[in-house]
Amino acid sequence: MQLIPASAKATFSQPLRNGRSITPYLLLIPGLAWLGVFFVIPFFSLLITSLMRPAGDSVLDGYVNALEIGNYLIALQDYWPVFAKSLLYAASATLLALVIGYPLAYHIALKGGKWRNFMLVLVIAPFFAAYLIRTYAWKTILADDSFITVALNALNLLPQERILNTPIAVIAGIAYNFLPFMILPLYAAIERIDPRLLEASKDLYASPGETFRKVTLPLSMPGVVSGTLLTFIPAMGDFINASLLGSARDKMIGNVIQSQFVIVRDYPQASALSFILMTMILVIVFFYIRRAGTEDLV
Amino acid sequence: MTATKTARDIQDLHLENLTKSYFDNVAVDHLTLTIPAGKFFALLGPSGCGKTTTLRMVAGLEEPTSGTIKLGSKDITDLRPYERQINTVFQSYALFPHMDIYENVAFGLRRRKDTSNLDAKVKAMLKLVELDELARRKPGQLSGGQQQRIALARAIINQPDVLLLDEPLGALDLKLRRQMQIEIKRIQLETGITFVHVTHDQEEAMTMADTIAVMNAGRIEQMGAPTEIYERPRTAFVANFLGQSNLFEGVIQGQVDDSTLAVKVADQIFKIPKSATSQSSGRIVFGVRPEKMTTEDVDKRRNEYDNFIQGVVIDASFTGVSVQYLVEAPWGQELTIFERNVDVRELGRRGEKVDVLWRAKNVFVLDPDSDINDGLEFLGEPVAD
Repeated sequence: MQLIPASAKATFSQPLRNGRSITPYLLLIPGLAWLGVFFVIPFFSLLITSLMRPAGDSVLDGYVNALEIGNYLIALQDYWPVFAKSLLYAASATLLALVIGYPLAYHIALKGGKWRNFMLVLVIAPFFAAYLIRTYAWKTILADDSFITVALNALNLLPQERILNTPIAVIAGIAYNFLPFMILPLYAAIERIDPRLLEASKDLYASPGETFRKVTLPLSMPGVVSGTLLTFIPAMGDFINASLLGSARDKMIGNVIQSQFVIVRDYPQASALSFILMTMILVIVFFYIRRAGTEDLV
Repeated sequence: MTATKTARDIQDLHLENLTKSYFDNVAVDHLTLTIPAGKFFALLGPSGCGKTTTLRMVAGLEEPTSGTIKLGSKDITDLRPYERQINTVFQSYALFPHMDIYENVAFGLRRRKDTSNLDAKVKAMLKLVELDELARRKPGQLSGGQQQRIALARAIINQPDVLLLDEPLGALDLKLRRQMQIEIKRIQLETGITFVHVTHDQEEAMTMADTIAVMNAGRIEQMGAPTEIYERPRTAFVANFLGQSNLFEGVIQGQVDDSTLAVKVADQIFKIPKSATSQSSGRIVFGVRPEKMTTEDVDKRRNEYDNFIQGVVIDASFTGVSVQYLVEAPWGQELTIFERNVDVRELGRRGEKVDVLWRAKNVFVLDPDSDINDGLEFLGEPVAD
């Protein structure tokens, strides 16, 4: 409360001169405090760490403050293939989730009828089990002797004759784990579409396919954009799927950062990697939203 | 527009035994109807009478349970909506919010790959509805009346054989509604397209339509020109729903002269023209429109009119152009009288005794088995003088 000047205290919950109350601003304080303590301070702490240099020859000597831009160069030099792979895995998983999620969301929103809420509960049902446990379960589901692997092998559909410990397993795991984040925004967007617009489209000589391309899809774009972002962003930084379902060669940038922090204890390197990842995501999201906003994606 | 339209052969729209039921609920009940080509046709009825369902079946948005829909001699019952030469103006307009006005109007032509002279056609259509300067706006930036006109343009540009209008003016305020009624009528005359207009607003139907079909509980009660069904309603539902009526149940007593019948209602004898009915005896139901009755001081001008009832004023309200009286007849029935504001006597007071007078020629006769309360539950706004 000390942050509030005395003059503001005097007008507490009283209308200001222009007729507005200060209560809305007071209500922002918990949220801003939360962001300050758990985002802004760690953010700068991470930035400072990423520029540190070792204090001695051993990591046990710790690190001292510096302006070691070289950390970033080394991180990029050593790990750009991992960044590229992470981007590929996250993008593939997002696309897979979109392809699986859109028809589901469409069906629930437009044809769900009285089953709509039940189906939505089914969509979020996986959340009742912990993330780690779900991913462990997939380890079993995709194991070499599992019925899925055996069946696909019988059809000669697996080039490596296995799923577990391949990129396919990592991408499938990510897509599975983030599917609800794809379906829910898609559902919300499709459900909001006035069914009379679809009728109007049919009435104006559009075939079902054209109605989807010209009316349903463009009007559901807000759901597509938020669904893909909600899937892509956490997928970029994910390390659970890669470490449980992938082989050593399928490691994503999340795995590298995790091991740099926890095992190698090269904090500046790990921080620099985190910053590069963050910047990458920001740039991608920026251009993605800009394009989505101009309807180029339709 | 007119030239291209008359050059093309527009066909009558036939509905034959059209039925739509949802489980046990019959929304449209063996409807048989011919809508003449190039006319403005109104389907009038209270909400839930099946008129919108009928329209949606014609559009192809609803599948009939049984019956056929024909355009000329061509059966279109099973065609998909996008295979029919029929377009709809939706109640909520249903303009595509993500497209600008130009693209909304061009939508139908683009889907049919009919893009020769597209630009000229769209611009001509926007001119027809007088909104050519708004081509690049989005629907959300338009007022309700403008959206309404765009919805109309978007449908008409396809030169359909039939244009369906589903309560198109429902969302507009009264003044704009009047303006749009005239506008839509003008466009119909200019394009020569058959318009089928669904509405619960009897005044709207009478203003715009060449032919009105009054619908009730999935069936057509009466069909005809507006003046015909207003002046000679055949059922109590029509008499009460289309405007207001004072309906009486009586028994024919005999002839007064060659052209007049005497009918006894309660203890009073009334004269009705013989030409209004084929009945010569038995129970008879007849009515008089409120504006065809007048009030007068007791026993003052009874000899100038054929019929009178001496009653008691229950209510008198002055609306400017007219005075609306509610008068109680000796047998307890309440009569409504609209008296034009010309040479009126002093405004009647509550409890005052008055004569209600009318001429025999203004009487219409309903089907003898009519229930005089039929349709009263939908009593809406009275017809303005």
